[in-house]
Amino acid sequence: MVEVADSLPWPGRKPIDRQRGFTILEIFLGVFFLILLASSFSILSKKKKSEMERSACEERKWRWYRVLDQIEFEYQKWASLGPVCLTSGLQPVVELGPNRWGILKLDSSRPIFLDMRFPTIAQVSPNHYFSSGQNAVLCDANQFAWLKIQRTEILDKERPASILFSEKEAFDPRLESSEKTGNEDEAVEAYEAPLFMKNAYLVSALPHYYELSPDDQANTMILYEREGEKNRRRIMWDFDSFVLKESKNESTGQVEVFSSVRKGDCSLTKSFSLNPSLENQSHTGQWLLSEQQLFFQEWVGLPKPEEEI
Amino acid sequence: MLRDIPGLVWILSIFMVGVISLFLYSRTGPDPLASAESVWDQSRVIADLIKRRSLQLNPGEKRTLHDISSFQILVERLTDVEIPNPAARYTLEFTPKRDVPDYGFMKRSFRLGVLDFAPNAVVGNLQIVAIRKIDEVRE
Repeated sequence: MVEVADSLPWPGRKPIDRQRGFTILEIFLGVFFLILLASSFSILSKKKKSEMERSACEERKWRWYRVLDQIEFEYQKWASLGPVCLTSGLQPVVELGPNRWGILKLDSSRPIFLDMRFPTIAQVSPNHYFSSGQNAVLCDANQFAWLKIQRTEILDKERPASILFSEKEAFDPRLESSEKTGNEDEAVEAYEAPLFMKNAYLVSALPHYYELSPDDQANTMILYEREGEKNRRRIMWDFDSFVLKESKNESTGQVEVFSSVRKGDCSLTKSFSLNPSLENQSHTGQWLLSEQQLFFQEWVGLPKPEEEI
Repeated sequence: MLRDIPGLVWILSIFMVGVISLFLYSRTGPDPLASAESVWDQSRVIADLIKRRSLQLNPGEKRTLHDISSFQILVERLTDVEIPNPAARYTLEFTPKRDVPDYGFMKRSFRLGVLDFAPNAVVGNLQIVAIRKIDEVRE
């Protein structure tokens, strides 16, 4: 009895003869657990795969937002610092070809204090940030003109500063037409007429270019940004298509921008409209945002009424 | 000695190991990212709340909005001004939450200065008047 009891794995169980193989219950449970584990793994694997794809898509979207948010940033700068340029018909983003865009990044802006008598000189607040060699645009509600800043002159910190434009590169449609006819008197008359009235805005802008190129190694596309003649740098990659369009709603005056990026099933569309209101375009100063405050800073050197005559 | 262990114990042990492996497998992978959002779209949402008076603040009052976006949003109404135009002043500050990747547009935070030119009207008239990106590296 003692020998039989010792040979049992635990009390009450019969001795097992391994030569007989598995019982039906063991085979059933083995198969059942195997199916259970396999199906769980299959479900989990699919879920993980879809999560990975979703996560990769979200990561791509964050990267794409970097570019699309930056584009909107440039538009919003125009809307807050030079809305009159947007109402004049100036387009900050221009499609230059099927895969090329020109983007004007606003640098600084100031209203001109006096009516322009010559197309090569404008007077602004002496606390401006314009410098020689910059591209600039002059805008009023109806027109805009491209200029190249030749030099700046500040005589007195309390009086308007002069901004001089390069005569050769200053764009003036009236001078251009009189040059064609060769009528010097007409040219002089046109030269003396004020080109832009006071309170038109002078805006310095940096032209940038976005260029789309195929990435042959990954069979996708790359978006490059180039500043002027400088080397281009990669700003967006890992996508199949990129769309950027600007239009103006003539009835409301709103500037509408549509952009979209896609890679396979992962796509991002962003559209926004700007209502360039002239209400916040003050001719006496500018709103500034510091770490803590939002305050209005008046222009220095505003001419007195008798000086304007 | 192993021959004495019954088949059921083997099967249950293998099953347990399988379950633990599955559990560990399910925990692997990168941390989930916050859903991608444009900071500009979020600013329009907040501006619209202020415009429609769904978000009302008294002058000098601040409010932090945690749950509506991937960004933590601090809305502050400053004291109203009369010059150059009567307006209510607001600042909106967007700070990326912990699970927002460094997507390059801003690093630390992004601030907007917004004026409401019709602070007493039922529907406001909001305009962005100043923008500031704070690009210092996030701590």
